[in-house]
Formats: sequence, C-alpha cells, structure tokens
Amino acid sequence: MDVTDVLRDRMQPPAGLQWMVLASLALHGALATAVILAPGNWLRRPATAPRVTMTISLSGGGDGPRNGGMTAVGGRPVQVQRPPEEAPRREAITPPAAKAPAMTLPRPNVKQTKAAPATVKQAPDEAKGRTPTKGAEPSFGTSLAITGARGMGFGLASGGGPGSGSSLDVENFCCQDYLLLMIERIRSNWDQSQPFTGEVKVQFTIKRDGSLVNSSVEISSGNPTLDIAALRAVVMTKTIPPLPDAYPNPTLGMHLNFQKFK
Amino acid sequence: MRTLGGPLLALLVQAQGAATPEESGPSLVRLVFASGRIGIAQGVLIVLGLASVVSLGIILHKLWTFRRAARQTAQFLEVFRKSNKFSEVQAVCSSLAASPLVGLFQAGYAELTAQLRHTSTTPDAVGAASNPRGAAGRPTLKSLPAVDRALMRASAVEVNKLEHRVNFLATTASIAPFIGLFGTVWGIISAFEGIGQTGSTNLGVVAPGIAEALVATAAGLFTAIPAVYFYNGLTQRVKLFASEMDDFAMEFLNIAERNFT
Repeated sequence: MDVTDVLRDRMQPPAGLQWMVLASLALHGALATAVILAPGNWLRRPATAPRVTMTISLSGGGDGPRNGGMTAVGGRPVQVQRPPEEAPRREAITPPAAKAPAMTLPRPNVKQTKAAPATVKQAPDEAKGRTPTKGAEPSFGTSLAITGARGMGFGLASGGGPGSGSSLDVENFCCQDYLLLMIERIRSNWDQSQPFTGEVKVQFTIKRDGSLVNSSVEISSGNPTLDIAALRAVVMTKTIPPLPDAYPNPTLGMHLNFQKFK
Repeated sequence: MRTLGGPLLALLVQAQGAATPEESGPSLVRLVFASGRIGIAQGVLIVLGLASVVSLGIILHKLWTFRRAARQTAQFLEVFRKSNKFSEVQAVCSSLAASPLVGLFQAGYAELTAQLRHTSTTPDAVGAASNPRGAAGRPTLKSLPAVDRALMRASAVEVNKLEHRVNFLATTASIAPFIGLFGTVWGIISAFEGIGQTGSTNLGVVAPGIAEALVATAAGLFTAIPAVYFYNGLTQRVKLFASEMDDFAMEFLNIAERNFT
C-alpha cells in the first residue's frame, strides 16, 4: 500500500456529525420550550411600589408678601372661631333601678306592689333631644376653588408684616389637606428661636400608619444649631395621622426645606 | 455539510419557529412572532438559530472526536512502545483509527515497506534486541528523509482532519453579533417609521418595536459566545495534538534510523 493511499484513507472525516447536530437541535428545542413555558417574570424581581418623594419648603421669620394685604390665601379660613368653653355639666346621680328577682315562681296570693317610679332630677343627654346650637361650629372653609391660588401660605396674612409661610411644590399629590396638616404639626414643633438664618433640608419617610421614620439632614445649612432644630422638629412630631386612602403607596418620602429668615 | 442529509435540514427548518427566541420571555416570544409574517427581524432570528444549532452540533462532535482521539492515542502509544515489531503495531491500527498518530504510523510504515521491498525483506524486526546491530542480512533504508516526508504529509492530513469545520465556529463567532446588530438596526428603523406614522412619541408606541429589535442582538450574542469559547478551546486542543504528532514522528524516525541504516 502506497503512502498516498494510506493518506487518502485517513482523510475521511470522522462520522457522527449529523447525530451531534440532531442532539444540538434537541438541546435548542428544549431550551426554547423552557423559555416559552416558563412564567414571564421569573427573572424579574417582584415589583415594589414606587417611592413618592416631594419637596416642601417651610419658612419662618421672614417678611410676608408685599401685596397690600391682598394675600392670596390658599382657600383656607385664616382664623377659626372657637365657641366659648363651657363648664362641664354635673351629672345627676340616680340610684340604680330596683332589681326584679330572677326566676321565682309566681305565688297566687301575693298582693301586687307597685314600685315607686325613680325620681329623675335631670333627663339624661340622649333623652333631651337636640341641643340648640350656639353658633357656627368651627370647620374648614370651602373657598378652595374661589381664590385660584394654590397653597400659598396659611396663618394670618397681613401683608408686609412678618409672618410665616410655606410653599408646596407637589406635582400631583392627591391630598393637599394632608400635607398642610403635616406641615402644621411639624411647624408647631419647630423651635425658631435661634438667632441664625439659613436653610436646612430634612428628609424623612411617612409610613402608612403615619409615623415619621428615617429622618436625616439632607442638606445642611452649615449651622449645626439650625440643623438640629429642624431635625428635632421632625423627630418630635413622631406621628401624624395615617396616610390618606386616596394615596396608593405604602410610604411617602418627604424632603422638607426649613428656611429661617431674619 | 455533505453529511447533513436532506431530512435533517428539513427538520432544522421546521424547528426554527421554536428554536430561535432562546433568551426572551414569553412576552417577547409573543412580541417577535405576533405579526405572523416573516420580516427582516424574523429572518435574522432564523439565520441566527440555524447558525447556533449547527455550531453547537460541531462543538459537540469535535469534543466527542477529540476525546476519543486522546483516549486511543494513549492506547496506541502504549502498544507502540511495548511491541518489538511494526507489524504488531500495524495490526492494532484498525481498532485505534481515531488517533491521529495511527495515520502517521501507517504512512511511515507504508514508506518503509516500499523502500525495503526490493530487498525482499519486511521491516518486521525493529527491536534492538531482536535485530542486533551488525547482524547479517539486515535490511537497509534507501532514504531516511523520504520517511520523514511521508510522516510530514501524514501529519498535515491529520491536522487538517482535526481542524475540519472548526473554522465554522470562528466564522459564526465573528459574524453572528453583526447579523444580530443588523436585525436590531433594521427593527429600530421600522420602529421609528411607526412613530412617524402615528405621530406619537408615547412610550407605548416606541417600546415594543425597540424591544423586538433588541431580541436580535441578544440572539446574536447567544450564538457567538459559545462559538468563541469553544473555538479557542478546540484550537488549543489541535495544537496539542500537533505537538504530540511531531513528537511521535521524531520517535518513529529514530527507531527507523536505528534499525534500518
């Protein structure tokens, strides 16, 4: 046998490629089937509700708007009249009603006795009927649609005098009343007695139950006293009413700007 | 591709609808094949699926072949070093044909036989013990370089055989991403055409087209990455086999020189 014949014999490529291609095809088919049959979201993490954040400025100690006393008030009554405090009424003390003996056999020859009616000096509240009102009950006004101004301040707007205001920059938050309530609560805990001026940004999260958590100074004013006062205002507030039902997400992230003017 | 029979190709074509969208979720499967027509994007996916199936088949075949070749080479070397006669080695060659060294040995043996034929002896006695130096009637070679050349020819044939179809992997590895990219670019062009027609930049209009387009790039990468990996691995194995063959050729020449000159 010549060398060339040997080499020609050896040149035949090894068989079996078609079986391997078939195996490869089966592998691809299995993979494609797995991909098609697998649930669509097996790769993705379960979606978490988006955290909504908004920025609100809270300022204090500065001049009010110079507009000749015609401040656009965001549709809120500026003062609430309280009815005069009423002295607590004393309850009439009534003796307990005579108790009928329980489960006794009636005796036929007993004379019936009439129980003396209980003497009532003053009727209980529910028996009195409706108490006549003593004037308007304190309630929020409904002038929201009339002024056309959105949330520009509350408190007594007196034009030019020192006042305090806050600005709301919320795009489409459902419940502005809730924010105003929150700001009121926080402002009432804000100690503004420091002789410094500056601006502190505090961030925190409102949970569904209304507790304020994860509060921290986001942008410092450079003055630790102001920073601490602002942070303290949030921490001291601790809880506010639960998030409104119209707001869908479990938490609400807040960035609150505390602006302290002269 | 001669070994791929007609029925196999028919199978491949049939299976394309299922085999192409390898890495997308069911929503993307629906997205890509929702239109029910075979456009450029679907064509790209089909081409890439074919390339993926064939290259994986070649990979599996080469791995299997190399594994068999390595095992039989070890067995062949054992037989070759233990036996005293080339004819004994020649007898086992047919059972160890997958080893590339068998090709070298057969070529060298054929050349030796041809050169020694006119002396009317066979190159049976190769061992030093059975054929002591200086014995009478000892066959001699006409040309040792001719044996060397026969071994070199055999070596070239064996390397060609080992490398057969491996370059398909290299081609797939370099072209598949470009094919995928082409599908993506085409898909994005048609997505923008769609935007222009509806006049809306709404994400709901833009996103499905772009997502569909990106499936093509993903398919290209899915095809190319295993091809690159196994191309490098298989080329390295071929180099190892080649050096093993060089080593064997030296050994063979040494034995031939020792015994037949």
